[in-house]
Amino acid sequence: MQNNLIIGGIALLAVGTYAIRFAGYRLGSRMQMSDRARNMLSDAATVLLLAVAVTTALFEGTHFAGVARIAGVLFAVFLAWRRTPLILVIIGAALMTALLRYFGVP
Amino acid sequence: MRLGAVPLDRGVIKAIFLVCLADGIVGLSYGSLAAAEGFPLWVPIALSTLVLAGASEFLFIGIVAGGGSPLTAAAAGLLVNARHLPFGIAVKDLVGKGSRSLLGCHIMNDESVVFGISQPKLAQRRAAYWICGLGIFTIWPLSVIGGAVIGRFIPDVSAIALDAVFPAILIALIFPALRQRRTLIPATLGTTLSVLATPFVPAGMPVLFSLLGLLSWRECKNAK
Repeated sequence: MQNNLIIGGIALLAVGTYAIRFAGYRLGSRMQMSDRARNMLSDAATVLLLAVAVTTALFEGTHFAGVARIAGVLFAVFLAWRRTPLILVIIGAALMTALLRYFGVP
Repeated sequence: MRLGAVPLDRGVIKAIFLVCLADGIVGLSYGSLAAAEGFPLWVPIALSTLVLAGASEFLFIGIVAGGGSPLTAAAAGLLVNARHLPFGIAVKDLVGKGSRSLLGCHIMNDESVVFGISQPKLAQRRAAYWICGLGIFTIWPLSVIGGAVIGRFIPDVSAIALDAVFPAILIALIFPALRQRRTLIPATLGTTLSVLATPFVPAGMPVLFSLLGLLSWRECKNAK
């Protein structure tokens, strides 16, 4: 068993991931920011999160994730647009996707 | 942190609880998968406590189980986690100062960031970030251990539609921000770039492409 290599891999991933988080925090704390830059950075997080959400809704790895998941997420978007409470948005998305899968939609 | 003084809506707290629960079920599934692939228990335990970033852990396990080198797997995982750098810049005020920030950085993930930035006031943003972050930091390793110990029982994450729940939560929480043109235009543009890039580049990179959407960012458009 390649135990030592696995330990090395985990250590690299753990230390690297922490360094990435910490570097962002330190970088943000050190920058002298105008209001404009501050607004843009808070939008940067939103841009990233939307990209995370949409790519995980559409893809499983590099393949299309299937209709049921996308329909559930679209239903959630509709509910959010109607200002439905968050809990119902979450439950609505899960129900929509689960029902479609139950009826055989991929 | 005194729980009685948490300045959050009950609805937000319930939503955080639900997200932690969903993460717990994914953790069970991940733990049992790691055990089924023949990994000793300490591997998922170390990953879930020290890395604490689900997508990169799955990738690590998947690559190593498929015969890849653990160092390659770590590099691939780091690419997936690269988005935490801009996240860190964006949530610097929520992470805290001094020694507290050392833990504050570790609990940074999609969920804690999205709950944090979607609250209206700084005190609420901090509380949401920390409660969600600590909640996941607790439930993720526990559920992963649980899944690995239970072993063969693998909850089917797709049958209960949890794969739709995570994008749904992210979108619902950033939706109010997306009602502003200032945010909507770069977000739409950036996300389009990410989607177009996904089939062609390694995991983690497409999401970074979305930052190019910020080139279209204009402050004045927010006047409404």
